[in-house]
Amino acid sequence: MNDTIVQIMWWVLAAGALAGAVTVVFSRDVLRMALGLGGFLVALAGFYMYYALPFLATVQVFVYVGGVLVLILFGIMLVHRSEGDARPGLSSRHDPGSAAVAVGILALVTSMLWPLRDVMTERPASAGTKAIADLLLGDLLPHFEAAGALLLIALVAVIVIAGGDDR
Amino acid sequence: MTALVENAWLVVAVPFGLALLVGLTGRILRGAVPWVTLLAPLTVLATGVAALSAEGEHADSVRWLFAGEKALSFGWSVDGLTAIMLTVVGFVATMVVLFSIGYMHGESGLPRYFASLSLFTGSMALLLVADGLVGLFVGWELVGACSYLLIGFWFRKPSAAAAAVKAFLTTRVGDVGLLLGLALLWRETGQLGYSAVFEAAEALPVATVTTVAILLFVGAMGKSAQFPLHIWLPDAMEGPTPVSALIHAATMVAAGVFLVARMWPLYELSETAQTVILVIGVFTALASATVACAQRDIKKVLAYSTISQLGFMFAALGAGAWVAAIFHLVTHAAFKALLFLGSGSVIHGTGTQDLREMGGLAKKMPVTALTWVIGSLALAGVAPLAGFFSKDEVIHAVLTRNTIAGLALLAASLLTAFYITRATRLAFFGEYRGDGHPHEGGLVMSVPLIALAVPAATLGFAGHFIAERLHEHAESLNMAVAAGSLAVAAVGIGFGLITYRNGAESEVAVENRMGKTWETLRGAYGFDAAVSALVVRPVTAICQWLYDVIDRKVIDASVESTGRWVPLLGRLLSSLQNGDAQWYAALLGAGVVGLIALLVTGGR
Amino acid sequence: MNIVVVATALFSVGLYGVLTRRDLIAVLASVEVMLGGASVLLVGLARTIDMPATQLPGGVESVGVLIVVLAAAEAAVALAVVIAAARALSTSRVDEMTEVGG
Repeated sequence: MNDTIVQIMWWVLAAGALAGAVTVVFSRDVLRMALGLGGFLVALAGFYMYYALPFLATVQVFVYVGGVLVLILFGIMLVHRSEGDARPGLSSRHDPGSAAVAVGILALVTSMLWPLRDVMTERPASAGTKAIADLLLGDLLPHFEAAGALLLIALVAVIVIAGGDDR
Repeated sequence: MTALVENAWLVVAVPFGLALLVGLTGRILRGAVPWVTLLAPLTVLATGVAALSAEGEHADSVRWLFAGEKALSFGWSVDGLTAIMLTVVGFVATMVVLFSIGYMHGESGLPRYFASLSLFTGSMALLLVADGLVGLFVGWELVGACSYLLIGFWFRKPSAAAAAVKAFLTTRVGDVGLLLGLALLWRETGQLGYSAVFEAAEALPVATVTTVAILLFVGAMGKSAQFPLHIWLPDAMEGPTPVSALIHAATMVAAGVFLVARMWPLYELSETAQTVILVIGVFTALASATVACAQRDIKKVLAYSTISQLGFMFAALGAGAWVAAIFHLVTHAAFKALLFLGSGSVIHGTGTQDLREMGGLAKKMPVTALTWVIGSLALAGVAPLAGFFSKDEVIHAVLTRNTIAGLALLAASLLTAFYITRATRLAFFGEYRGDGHPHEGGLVMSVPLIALAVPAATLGFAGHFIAERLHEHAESLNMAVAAGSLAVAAVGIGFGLITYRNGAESEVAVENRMGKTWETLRGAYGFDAAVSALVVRPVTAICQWLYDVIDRKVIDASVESTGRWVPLLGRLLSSLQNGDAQWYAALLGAGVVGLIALLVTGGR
Repeated sequence: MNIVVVATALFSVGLYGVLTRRDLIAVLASVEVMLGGASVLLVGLARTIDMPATQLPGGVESVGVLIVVLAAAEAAVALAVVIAAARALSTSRVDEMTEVGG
């Protein structure tokens, strides 16, 4: 019974993620798009939980939903400055070529990974935050430090790029 | 003297070098141009004379154009035949260059004229001293090119330009035959040097030898204006008269005779080829002698006379008497060059070429008249002038071979005596009918005339010497034939004198009486028109069609449409670069799809 | 296997958005969708395939965290560029930004 609930949960997550993604890509309304992105990011956090990666899920919610999503909302507000009362609209240029490329990627990547279906097993087990800390501050310390440096550089870059007028 | 013979390549190198020098520095040399040019024929003449007295053969060669085991040899050799020809060419060319100083005085483009003359002299010498058919062919084509340049010297005159093209193209028809003959010989024997070819030819089947011989003869026909490739020579008279004397009477047109004589060991093997040459020669000799009778243009008379006399030489070759042919070539070169230079003097003095506008010139131009008469008598075959002996040998040889052909040649000699008497009577005697002031052209023109009159009168006695230099047995004078041909000449001259006893009035009377016949003769039996209608016009039509359809609609159209497609393609490609980042991303994605597809299918 | 299909589908939908969205911000959001799809695919495969490289305790999470950091930096910089571009060109529409076109 537990298994069935877990399975249903997985499908709900998948449906949510897809629905969010589709909203981001096709919605004509800026806020609905932002909401769709939020839903998508939360659904990803749910996936991480499903795969027993609670720390990653937490980071996902913190950074993405709390950071990136807010950043994008700021961006919307800055770029689409008030154009009257109406909420700014979004438009797309749907064309079969792009659709073909997207569907092609889907089909080919799936078919490429298809042979893996025989070796797939479910192994949901968390290693715990201690193991992550050991790893990040141990073997992966260079990567961790590099990520920190990258963030710093990005911070400076954002200030330089976006704040050009103030100099 | 032997130094000259041992370095006989100088007869080619010196004229070529002088042609280059004169052509490039003509503006600086100015009046000295002809005198510098004179060095070229003098070199040839000196070498020829030296070679005549030298013993044995001199030769040198380099291997050239390697093709696997085979290689063409390219070199020179001097034997009796070459020595005789070099002397003739050198002598006539010297006289012509001298004569040109007077004749061409005041013309523009003289450096070009003298450079071409020098180039011609060198090319002719190359044709003569070459030790194989390759060198001969190179010289052969070069003299053709010089002929083209000199006929078209007055290239602004449309008729001269057309005549130059006609001469070049007509001789080219013959050259194709020559080239095919060379190719066949190369395929069959792998040799193109004279002695090697003669050695190898003995082993060849007669049919092959005949084919080669006739193909080479086709080349000779083109160069020596034999029927049916004779049509270019009368038109070639558009060139300056000294050029006609040198190229179109004495030397280049005799190259065909030289070719057959040079290749004689080959012709000796083929009875058929000899017969073909005999028939063509006799027919040409007779037919063009009739045509010469009705010409009004003094140079046209001499042109058809030249064709006729070349026919005599080929008849001799066809009868197997190649020594007689060379003998006649030598004497003919002297008296025909003399006649041409004489006509040049007349043209220079009166400003016209039309016999009807001359008359009575003997009083006003005594030197020209005297030398002309000597040349005419030599041509008519009056003893003891040069033409008598050589023509006698020719007729004797042909009579021995075939009586009908011999009689035809006798008839041709009768006509020869007749038409040259007519021309002499009309031009030099009676009353002057033109409106100019006829005068002698001065020393530079008189000296060559006199210098040529001497051999024209005396060369007949050189028959033994020539035969000896050619290592052949000399024919002794056959009294019966000599008497016959002398009688024929006398009859021809007498008939001419009687017919034209009243000069120009007789001419009008004859033209009225003969009517259409005379017109047909003057039009050379309409052969030229027939060639135009049957060959030139269809070929032109085909070429026009090729131009209209193949060139314009296929080749040009494809080229032009290539030009049109390129901007189209460019627009297509530049539309890829539209600056739209998403378009680029889509292309990138398509590329990734393609690559993954390759990976997944493993390139199948 | 389902996770592969779903994750790739997310990626493809995001890709389609990147290719067709006209607003730079929306393109950026679509890029986030693509990145998310790729992350889920990575995590999902790592947690279901038995390979030595995936058995390191905390390994998957550590890599995931690094990805999140990278994505955060990317989003920040990209948004800065979007704002700068919108300010400089007075538009945020991708199809109007054809300055580099030929």
